[in-house]
Order: sequence, then structure tokens, then C-alpha cells
Amino acid sequence: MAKILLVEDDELLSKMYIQKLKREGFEVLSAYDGDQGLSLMKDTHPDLVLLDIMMPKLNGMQFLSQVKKDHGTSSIPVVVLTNLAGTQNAQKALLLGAKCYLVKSDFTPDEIVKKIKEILVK
Amino acid sequence: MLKSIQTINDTSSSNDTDADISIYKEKDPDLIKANSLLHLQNAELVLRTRTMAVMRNIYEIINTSQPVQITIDNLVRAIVQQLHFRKVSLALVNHKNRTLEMLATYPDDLTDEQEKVIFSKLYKTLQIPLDDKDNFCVNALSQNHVRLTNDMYDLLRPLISRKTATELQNLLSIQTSIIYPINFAGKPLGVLIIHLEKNLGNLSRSERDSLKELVEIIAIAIERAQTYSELQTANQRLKDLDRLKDEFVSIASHELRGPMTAIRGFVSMILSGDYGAVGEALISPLKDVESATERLIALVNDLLNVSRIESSRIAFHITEFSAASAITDVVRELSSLAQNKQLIIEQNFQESPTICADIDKFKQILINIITNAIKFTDKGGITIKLTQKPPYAHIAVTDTGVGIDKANQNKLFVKFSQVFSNQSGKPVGTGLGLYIARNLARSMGGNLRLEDSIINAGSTFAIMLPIAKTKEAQNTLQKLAKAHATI
Repeated sequence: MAKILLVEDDELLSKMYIQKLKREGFEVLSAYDGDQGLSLMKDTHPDLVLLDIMMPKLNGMQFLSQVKKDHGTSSIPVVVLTNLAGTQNAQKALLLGAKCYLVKSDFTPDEIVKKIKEILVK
Repeated sequence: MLKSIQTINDTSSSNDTDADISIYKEKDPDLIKANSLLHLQNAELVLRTRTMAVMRNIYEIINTSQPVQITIDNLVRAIVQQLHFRKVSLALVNHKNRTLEMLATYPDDLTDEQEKVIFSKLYKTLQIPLDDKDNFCVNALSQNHVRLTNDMYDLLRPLISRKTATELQNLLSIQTSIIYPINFAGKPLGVLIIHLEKNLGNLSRSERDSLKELVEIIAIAIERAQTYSELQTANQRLKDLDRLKDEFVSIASHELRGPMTAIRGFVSMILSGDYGAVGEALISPLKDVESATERLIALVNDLLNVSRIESSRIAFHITEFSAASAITDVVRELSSLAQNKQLIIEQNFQESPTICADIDKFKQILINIITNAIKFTDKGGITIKLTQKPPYAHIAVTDTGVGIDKANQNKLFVKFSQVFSNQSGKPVGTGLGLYIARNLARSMGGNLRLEDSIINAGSTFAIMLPIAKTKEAQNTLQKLAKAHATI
């Protein structure tokens, strides 16, 4: 059973994604800010991370760059899941090592699960 | 008269002239007359030369774009240095507080101590109220008439007392002050005040005429400096507003997306059966909620795009690529959409040009046009013809759909104007797609237009983009680089 770490500060959206992922048979851990996310990363070593960008304390970009610097966590695939649009943000995230950059409102939860499965198979 | 000529001739050998005249005085009256005439003409020439010198200075001042204060400081200095008056002042109309502000004086030779003694309050800038009609400066300006006075009180009332005015005059060794109104195209700008030394009387006729000419050019210099200053302020304000607008749109669209994601997500999960079986009756209304939400999300995305396009904030990454292969990619992506309606997409590549454009934006335009074609076509198919019409690659997308009537054709590329589908009577899309698509095409040096449309037979849209290595491609690259440089 694959382990997914969800780093998302919006409670409603967090609840929605957790419900969906659990339904699909994933083990789900959730953090509400970048700091919490980082410690969960190091402690639990998930198989994939769903990462929001606009968060209090440590934001998504900072989280991403720290994760990729640490040898222990750098190989874990990170999917940026944000409502911040703009090709410049996407490029920055991809350069920092994100696997892909998804704008939340453009995908249904089913479509996101599909993307996660695609990445985990590789 | 002779005395004033002497002051103008101060660089010439004035002592010699005195001696010469005294020798000839005893002798020939005709020679004396001729001599005086020569002196006069000489003096006029010297004045002419000096006036031209000031004019040249003023032209230079006009050509350098300096703030208003620096401009008028330079103006008064130029006049004193060339024409050697005791003092020159320039006052400009301040429309906000309805005064004439004494903004520049040269030489500025009143010491702080003297200033404290002369003025009961320390004036950094003297502001003469425009409603004091007895003040000679105000009068000169409103009547558009040169005024002259030997009493500085007339100049500075009601700001100082008569007593103070007399003290000031003595301190500065000024006798006569001449006030010239400065107008530009009938608009009163201010006054130029020439102060003459004690015992010098008035200006000669030639001097007065020269000054009249100079005042006209001074008016141009002041007007230009003021206009330039206004333009700079307006420009800065526009830049600030633009930035504010962008920030607002960015923040608003980000905030709006949050709840919309939740609505879309939960409805989708309900319809998938994640919360149990959905009653028959609920499926249709839930699907309506889903499509309304999708439309809302598309609208927010489009608004963000439009805002970015209109402030040239969209980044273009121009490369050279094969139009044919980009078209094939897009057709592949949209094939299932077409298959759902049993429509055939045919690619007719008569030529294979390399175009110079942003590949993602090109695909975006294509997706928009082809998706529209699929939406408005119920049977038959869509043909994409690729040709060259140098210096452009020409991509024609033809469908066998319902067509667009003449009335709606005019509205096609207009922001927010929606064409209602003849099929369902419902509005399709956000009304922004074609507007954005055409904007993108034009920003890349090309165009997007409706070539033809026949009701119940179909429509043809054409996309044109510059072929790589043409002059058009070069011009576009330069324009885009410049647009980004100004941000």
C-alpha cells in the first residue's frame, strides 16, 4: 500500500483529497504547513508527496528545495498541487525538481489519482 | 540713452570713447553726429549678438528635458550672464493656490541675515496672490502688458510693507523693475522681471524689443518643461496602476480557485459514487453543477490570461519549429474529443514550413480553434490545411458545422461577446477564447481571422505566423524583446 504525504493548508481541500486517496487504497499522511511537512517527510519517507505552494511558515518552493537537497528525501517524487498559476512558477518548481506542476482547479480528484498512479508505476 | 549704451558696451574700450568724444567735441559737429551714430549702431549690434547668445542658450535649455525648477534657474542665469542686468527673477503661476510664485532669481545675493531683517517672516518662496489686482506682476499678466516701476512695493505687495520694500531696494541697488508677462498659446504662464541698476533709467528700445523676443522663447521653454513633468508623473501613475491591477488579478484568481476546486472535486466524487449510489433524479442537476463550475474555472483562467496579455506580461519563448509536427501533436490530443462525436480530423499538409513562434502558444491557439470547430459540428469533419503564403505559414481550419451568420461574425473576436450555439441555444465558452487566441497570434507577429462561413455548411478560420528567418520573424523578436524590457 503506497504512502502519500499531502502538504496542504486549506482544510476543506485537504479533507477532500484525503477522502479520495483513502478510498483509492492509499495510506495518507497530512501536514498543514511546510515545517510540519518537512518533519513528516524525514520521519515517514512517503512514496510520493502532493505539495501546495502558498502556505504559512515554510512555503512550497522552500520545502521543495530543502527536500531535494537532503539525500535522504531527494529521490521521493513531488507533485506540486497548487492554485497558483503562471508558467514562471511552474518552471521554477520543475527546475527545483518537482515531477509535475498541477493547477488544482483544472483537475478532478479522479484525474489527480490517475496522475499519481502513473508516477508510482515508473 | 548714452548711459545705457555704455553699460552694454562694458567689454569694449569705454574709456577710449570718452577721450575720443572729448577731442572731437571741440571740432566738427558732423563728425560728432557720425560718431554717435556709429556708437549707436555698434551698441545695437552688440545687443543683437548677446540676445542671439541668450536665445542659443534657451534653445539648449529647451532641448534638454529638465525639471521645471532647473529649467527656470538656467533661464534667469543665462539672461543675466549675457545681458548683464542687475538681477532677473521669474515667477510662475501656481494654479493650485492661485498665486504667482517667485521661483527663480539670479543673482541670488540676499544673505540670510539680510533676509531676516528685510522680511518679518522668512519666505522660501514669495507667493503673490493672483487676486491682488494692484500688484504690478498680477496686472502685467492679466492685461498681457509690460509694466514698469521704480518702487519694489508695487512688485511684492501685499507680502511686504512699503518700508521693507524701500529697504530691499536700497540693499540691492535696484532702481527700475520691468515686468514682462509670459504667455504660451494664450495661456498665462508667469512673469519675467528685469531689475535695473540704480541710475540707469530705462531700457533702450532695442533692448525692449530683444526682450520681447526672448520672452516668447522663454514661454516655449517653460511650457515644454511643465508638459514633460506632467507626462512623467502620469506615466509613473500608469505604471503603478498597472502593477496594482496585476497583483489584484493574480491574488483574486488564486483565491477564487480554492473554493471552486472544492466544489468541482466534491461534486465529481459524489457522481463517481464515492459517497454511495446517487439517485437517478440527482444525476442531471449534479452534472449541471459540475459544468457550471467548469465554466467558472475556465472564466477565471481566461481573466487571468487576458489581464496578463493586456499588460504584456505573458512571456513568449520563441523557437523555430515545424508547423506540421506541432499540428499533428494537437490533432492527436484532440482525437478522442472528435471521435466522441464521430467526426473525422483530416490533415492536408501541402507544404511544411518552419515557423518562428512560441510553440505552446501556437498549440493553444490551434486547440482553441479546433475545439470550437468540434463543438459547432455535428456531422462530417474538420480539415486542417497547411500552406505557405510568404512570409507567413498559413493554417486553415475548416469544419462542416453550423456556420456563423453575418451578425455574429462581427462579434467573434470581441471580449466577452458570446455567440449562442444554434444547436442548443446555450452560450458556449467564456467569450474570451478567440480574443485571447487572436491576441497571442498578433503578439507573435501573425494573425487569426475568420476566412469564410456559410450557414449549415461550415466555417474556415485561418492562423498565420511568420516563417523562420524572414524579416517579419526578426521584427517580431525585436518587438517582444522591447516589450519585456519596458516592464
